[in-house]
Amino acid sequence: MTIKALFVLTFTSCWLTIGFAENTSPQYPIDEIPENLKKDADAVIRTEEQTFEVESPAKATHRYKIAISILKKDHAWSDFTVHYNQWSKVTNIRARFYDATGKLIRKLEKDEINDRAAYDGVSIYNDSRFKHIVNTYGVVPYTFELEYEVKHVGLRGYPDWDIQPQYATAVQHSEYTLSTPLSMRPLFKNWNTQIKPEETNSSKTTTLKWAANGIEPVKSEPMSPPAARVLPWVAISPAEFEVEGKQGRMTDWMTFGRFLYELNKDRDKISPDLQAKVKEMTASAKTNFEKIDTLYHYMQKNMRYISVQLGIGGWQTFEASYVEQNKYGDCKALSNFMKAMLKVVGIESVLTVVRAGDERELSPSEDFCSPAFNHMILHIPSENMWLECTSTDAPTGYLSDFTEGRRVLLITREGGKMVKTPTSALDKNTQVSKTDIVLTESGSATLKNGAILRGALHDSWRQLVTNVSKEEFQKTFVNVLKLPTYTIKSLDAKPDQKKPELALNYELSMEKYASKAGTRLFVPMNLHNPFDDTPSPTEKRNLPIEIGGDGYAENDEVTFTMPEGYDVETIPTKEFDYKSEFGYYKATIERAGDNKLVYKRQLEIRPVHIAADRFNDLRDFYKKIQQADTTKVILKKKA
Amino acid sequence: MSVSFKPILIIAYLLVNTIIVEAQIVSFLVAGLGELETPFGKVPKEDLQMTSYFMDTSAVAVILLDNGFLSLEPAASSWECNLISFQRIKLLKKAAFEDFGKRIITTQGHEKLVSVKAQTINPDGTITPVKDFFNETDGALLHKKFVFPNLQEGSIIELEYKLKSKNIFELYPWYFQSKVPVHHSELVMDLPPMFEYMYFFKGQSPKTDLHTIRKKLVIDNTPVYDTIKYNRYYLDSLSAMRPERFVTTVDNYMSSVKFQLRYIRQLYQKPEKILHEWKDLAKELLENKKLGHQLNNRRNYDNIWRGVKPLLEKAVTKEEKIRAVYEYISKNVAWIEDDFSIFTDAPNLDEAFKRKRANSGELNMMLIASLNEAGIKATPLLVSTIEHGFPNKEYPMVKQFNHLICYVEDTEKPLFLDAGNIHRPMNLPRTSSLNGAGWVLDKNNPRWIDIPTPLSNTTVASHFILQKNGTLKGEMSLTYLGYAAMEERMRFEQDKNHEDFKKMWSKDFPDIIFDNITVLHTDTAYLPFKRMMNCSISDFAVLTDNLMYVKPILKMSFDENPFKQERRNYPVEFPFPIQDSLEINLTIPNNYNIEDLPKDLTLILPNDGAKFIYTCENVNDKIRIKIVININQLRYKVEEYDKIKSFFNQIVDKKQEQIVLKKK
Repeated sequence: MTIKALFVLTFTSCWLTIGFAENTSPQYPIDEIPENLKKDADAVIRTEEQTFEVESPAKATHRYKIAISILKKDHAWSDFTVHYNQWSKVTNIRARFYDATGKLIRKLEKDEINDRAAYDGVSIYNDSRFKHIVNTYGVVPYTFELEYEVKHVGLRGYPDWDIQPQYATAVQHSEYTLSTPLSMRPLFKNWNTQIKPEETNSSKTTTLKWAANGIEPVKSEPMSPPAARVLPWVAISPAEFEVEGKQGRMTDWMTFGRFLYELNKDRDKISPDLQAKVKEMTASAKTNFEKIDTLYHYMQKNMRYISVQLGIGGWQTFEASYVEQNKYGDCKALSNFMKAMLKVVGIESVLTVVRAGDERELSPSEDFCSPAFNHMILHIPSENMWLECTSTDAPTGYLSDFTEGRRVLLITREGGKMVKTPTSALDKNTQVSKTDIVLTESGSATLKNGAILRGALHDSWRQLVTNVSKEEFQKTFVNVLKLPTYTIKSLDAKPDQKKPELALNYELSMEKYASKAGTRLFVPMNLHNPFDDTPSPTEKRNLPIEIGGDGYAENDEVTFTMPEGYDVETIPTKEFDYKSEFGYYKATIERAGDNKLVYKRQLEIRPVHIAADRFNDLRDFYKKIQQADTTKVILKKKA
Repeated sequence: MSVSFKPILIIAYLLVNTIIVEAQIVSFLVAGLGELETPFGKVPKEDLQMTSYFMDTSAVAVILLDNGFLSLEPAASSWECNLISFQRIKLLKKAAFEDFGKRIITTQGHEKLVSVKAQTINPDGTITPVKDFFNETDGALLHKKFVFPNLQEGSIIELEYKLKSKNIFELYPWYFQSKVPVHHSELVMDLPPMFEYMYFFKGQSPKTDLHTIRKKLVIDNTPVYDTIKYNRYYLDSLSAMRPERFVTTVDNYMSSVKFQLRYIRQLYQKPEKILHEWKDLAKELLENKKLGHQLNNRRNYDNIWRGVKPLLEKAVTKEEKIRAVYEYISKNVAWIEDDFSIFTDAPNLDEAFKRKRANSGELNMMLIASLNEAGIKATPLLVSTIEHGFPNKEYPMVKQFNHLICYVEDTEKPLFLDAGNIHRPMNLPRTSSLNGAGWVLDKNNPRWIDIPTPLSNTTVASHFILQKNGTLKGEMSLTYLGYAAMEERMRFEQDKNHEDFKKMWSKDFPDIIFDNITVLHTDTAYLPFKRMMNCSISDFAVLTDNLMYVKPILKMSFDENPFKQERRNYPVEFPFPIQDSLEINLTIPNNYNIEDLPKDLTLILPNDGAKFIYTCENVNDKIRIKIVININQLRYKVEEYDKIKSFFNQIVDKKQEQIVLKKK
């Protein structure tokens, strides 16, 4: 390099430095946050600005910037992730830290941005990735500012506008600008907000701009609805999209379902060998149910759940032949494989996408189409039956709380059809148990319990006993059953093959069941199955109370054999009887014969959807149950 | 530690062989170039038919064969460590599919996965090879992921892979044990005599012999087989390793062997010592850019020093000065959770300080550099955290250390400073640091010293009045010291309104009402943390016509027995000693007499290892209960398990005991 060239370069860079000189005036000083936003906030979004510019169904550019002031050490904002995949590229990531006064303290160095594989928690391999940026700074308060840009060349959706993404986070300002070609005006739906976009149209594009200011933080509370049903956000979907050359529309469920159908059709071919085997296995079956049952069990026994997500594979199933050869697949591949086997015996079935998980309330709404699914099941219209194809243990036709009682999308030849999966009523989620406890003078006891668990109450036991080693099962049992230290004499759990039902039997010996004081023994009536879901008291409840699911019922009977020479001194309460809209509780204690006590307990817990001001009603009911479950009978040695 | 090998070394090595034992050249070449015959695909019939493992019939899987062939081979400019690994695993139950049905092989920058093949063999003999391998980069790591296809109960999976590593100072370690039983595990070694390694064995000592290995060489398109004898370490019928509570790391007990390079011997030269004396290691680390240089070179901590200096002017005594610096660092830089290191990760200490987040070693180096600059002699103390495993005091292996703390000797009492949490005072290291001993990184006098284990102490004093209607009313004062104080302070920092504190109590006593909760010494870690309160619990006592039953103990240090399992496989380890006490003074309603009181109980484990003293007395119609729980001995052998389990059982039982009162 000549001296001249060097000079020019130096000059240029010098000029550049001047041109892009840092703004030295304070940025986001903490004392500019209004008091009402600061109160009860762990963090305050000072500003969030994003634009999503759509050029074509496949192409878009997302420019994003957030400045967030962190006020407390424990907050939900320590990790920022920018996702990308083979159809997108992240550029221009820039992050800065400002102190409380707004002085720039430092910029994030390149080595502090990690490039990682996305873990969805179940897949062994997933080709989507993310940039990971850690927002921590030893002292609070401070402000973190992050900017980046993502270029997309394949789209499966648009980013939603998550106005207030977290509890305990206030929003000073947030805006979102979305522009699309005129013909592709996007669809959107408001959640927990009345906000409306400003719309401007040019000759070629439609631009929607939303803005929100001064949103106070919301405190998270136990037993409340999921955040997405409380905090404001706007769901946004593309009218048209394109990924890997495949074009689709999200205008309505019918159309989107049609797209998914096209993507997944004709992938249900299995080998002639397997076809023959399927026919042979079902040859003696008399009904369609028997055929389904046989094939479902064949799949459960021979296939296993392994998730590999590649490219459009998030929406498209592997070929049925792949599952046949490898004997594994994810929810889509296994559902599709089951469909393929059913086809051989002339039973038509329909792939169905669902948002699975605890929060059935989050299942997609009928009036707004978005790809808000995370799971696939199989529907058999002729039998009105549903199959969970990833389960190695579920009885045929049983869905469990994982996918029950929610809106799902059937992917039919005609297009998407939204229907609701069945719910299991409260009386199907039950436990009926009989227990014998033989006490000795020292307070030790042997306990023999036999219980039948059904529905939601049996799910986790069934999964456990079929999927883990005996030793592991015993370990979990010891952790679940909160009894004083005991030795297990026998333990057995038998799931029913036909019904969602499990028989649990165990026999224990305990060195100390009843505590002793002089000549008295204090005998707890319900140590093995106490209710303990009472929420802690709160001064002021703000959010509605929601306990999902379908509720459950328990019916227990315990017979105590008293030690020789002992008699009842006191039964403090002979009968508990509580009724409420939230459930029902009844417990009775009675003498039976010379040396026996019988404790009977009925409990019904119903789903709850009530307003915040009724918190104490619920708490009082639960509290009474919890206290009644701690009742003890006092025995005394006969003189 | 960067020693680069020049090609000349290889020539030198070949020469050695030519002159000394000609035969060895051949075998060397074979080792390097030949193809090792592994048992891949040659499954004995009885293994296919096996339905349970005779040594452990409840096992969900058994590792039938776990063979390793470890060798050093010359590469372009240096030597490389090769590991050929072969595994044959029988999956007996579906429960094993989750752990063994898929596999991830992870390599770092200095390593390479040269080849990998895997297959499933079903009991009927069907073989299904693995076809899909996924590569995934994750920071500096490279994962190779794959799934065993076509699995069923009874399937055998086989896996063979070859790893190459540029690190010849520490060879690939070998673990004979696994979380399922292992039928046979062996490591065959082909290490040229010019490299002399130290072997570190843990757990059961392996057997050793000279083992014949067959290798295939192709000469002029004709395969030639050669058999060579190598050193082999092996073990048979190993039991499964299972984690348990109160065991710091199972790794401490797993049968394994690790290797550390000690000498390199070259022809006509004095052996080059690689595994040095402790003194050499000290010298090397003190010259290391990421350790010693950070401390010795003001440029690396100039900004930190500028912040520290004014604080020192205010402080008078030496102790005050040290404390000022310790608090300054802890307050201003957050520890990156679980990030332990003896080296800097950031470009230098100042940069880590600027980022306000640092690994454990960086934090303490900031402290050491500042103190030394202030004229107070502070020395790095290298530690193996309890999660990292027991320290090895015999050999100067640097890898055993994963944490660095600050040691100050010439104070009244030596100080162990482990910055990173403002709620931990000086001399209260991270609990992870409490692994017995640390190594003083002193140029002239490197040495091992014991790290004292500070106490955890909780004292509860309470005065209650039991009312005629069964309501309990009174006051409690909870005093915490040591680790207990640290935990409480951290809890309080997140819970200034005592909401979580109240929640915790309302779990057991839904009706409890607190009043006037006050806390003392919230922001100084040097005084006991105190929480005082009034509280009342309605329906606390159970009333009948003429009796009243009261369970006087609300909460105790051990509400549940931490040891519920019937048997124990590994020793029990407590991180620090515990000294808790509880006193309850209970005034009973004046129209009642005491009918029955719980009996006194004293439990003492041998050598005062642990102590439980419970007394309950009637003092002028007031009931006074005193409880002391001490845990002095920190490690209990497997044989002592029953003792410690029953000790806790009796403590927990005592909590349930009741007082009976009778109407006058």
